[in-house]
Amino acid sequence: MSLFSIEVQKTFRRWRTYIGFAVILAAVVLLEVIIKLNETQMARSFAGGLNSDFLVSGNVLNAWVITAFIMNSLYIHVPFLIALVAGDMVSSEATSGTLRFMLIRPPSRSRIISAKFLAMLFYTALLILFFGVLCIGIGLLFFGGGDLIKFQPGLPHIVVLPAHIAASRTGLAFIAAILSMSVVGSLAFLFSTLVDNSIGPIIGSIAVVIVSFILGNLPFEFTESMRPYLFTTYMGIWQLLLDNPIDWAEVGKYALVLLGYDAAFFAVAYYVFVRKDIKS
Amino acid sequence: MNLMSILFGIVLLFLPPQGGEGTRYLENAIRKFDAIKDYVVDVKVHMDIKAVQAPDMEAKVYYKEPDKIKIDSKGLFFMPRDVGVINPRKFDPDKYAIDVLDTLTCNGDPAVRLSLVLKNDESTGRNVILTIDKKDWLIVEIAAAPYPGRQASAKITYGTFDGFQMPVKVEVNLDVGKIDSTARGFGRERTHLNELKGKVEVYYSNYKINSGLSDDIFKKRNDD
Repeated sequence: MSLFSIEVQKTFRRWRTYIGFAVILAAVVLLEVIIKLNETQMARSFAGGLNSDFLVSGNVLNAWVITAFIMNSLYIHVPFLIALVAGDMVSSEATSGTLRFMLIRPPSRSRIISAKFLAMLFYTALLILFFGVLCIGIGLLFFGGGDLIKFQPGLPHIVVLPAHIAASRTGLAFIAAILSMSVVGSLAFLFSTLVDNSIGPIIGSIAVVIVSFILGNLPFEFTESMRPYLFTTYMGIWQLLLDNPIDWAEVGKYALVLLGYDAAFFAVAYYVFVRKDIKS
Repeated sequence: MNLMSILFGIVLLFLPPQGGEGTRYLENAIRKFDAIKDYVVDVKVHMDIKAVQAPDMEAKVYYKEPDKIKIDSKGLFFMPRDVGVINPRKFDPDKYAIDVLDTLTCNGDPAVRLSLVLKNDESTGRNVILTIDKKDWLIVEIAAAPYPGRQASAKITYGTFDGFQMPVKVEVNLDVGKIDSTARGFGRERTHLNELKGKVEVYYSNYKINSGLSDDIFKKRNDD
């Protein structure tokens, strides 16, 4: 059995791994039920300014619109759910006392840290895919399909994506969201190599995400000049994939920056782990 | 009968009849539509508005007198509210102060431009300028300013279906000012409101007129 499989098994043997799935299940079901109960009001709100000047027909509030709407919560609870597991990947071994035992035997430290990092990425991907399948599945069940009406910055401002395009774009958006959320996971993973308990990495990484968000959204010249250097600036990559036309150059830039942060956080975690003193 | 009564009678004789020239023109246009009790038509909308990117949209529009409208579409469909469905009946002469602005020639036929100002501001607050073809008594142009800063005008081309002259194309020029949208994601640049200005072409085909549409068709709201 490969080291990666062992790490994945270890991850999914911990009960905290399932908290993320349970929270997402509860949140998505709750949100979609609430939206369903307020469907008419929500549909009018979504049609927004259009209603006063246009006769609007068709399934305005459909699975794709609801999914795009719920995806905004990616910034709220999903980073915490990812940090909950990623921040525990290495530190839990230290807490339980298995780290020393693990490191005095083959395989090498570099293989171990790589396998743990890949397992963290696997969990992140699985959680986001679960989120996507749930949003779309319940959305289709409750609201049916339809064209995606979307408001975006600049021109055109209102974009209507036909249903078949909306489906593929939503899929792409979730793949981009995996990349986006992997940065939070990588950060929590890095923190978990630094300490011997899980609380620190979880709270630490969430604190960094929150502070970074706040800094990036403050309307001051100084904080705006910081925006290009904050990873949270690029975490909205998934939204670019729902724009029309897609600005691929921008998507590429966002993806490269996020991958860069992933690589940087992993490199530091790797450096710390392979030099970790397990004798003291 | 005293002198005052005779004088009052004479004054009444010389007063213009109630409902001036403009009202009569409008009534002629409404009368022209009188024979149409209901219709079903296939509608295709093509938008050429910078702020809106939408594929051509198709729907089946049901109309029943006096002002019932139902739109059935597979996908999302929207068309200009005031000028998308031409219905002279909605310009009730009793509700508007009607003035003749000028007479002109439209497509080689004599026409008249009427100003319709709502007498009661508490209602929808829509003031309209209509151009009526005096040869066929058809509304060939509508200009509406529903709210300050919002304007829509439409040029209407007619065709004949089952002996009725019905719109085949409505070319709408829209300028409805800045549109308000609260839908924006986190972590993105704040959305700047854009002007909804441009052209919308509405094409009508396959009319089925006076087929006896049931009221049940119109019971469900369009935006439900």
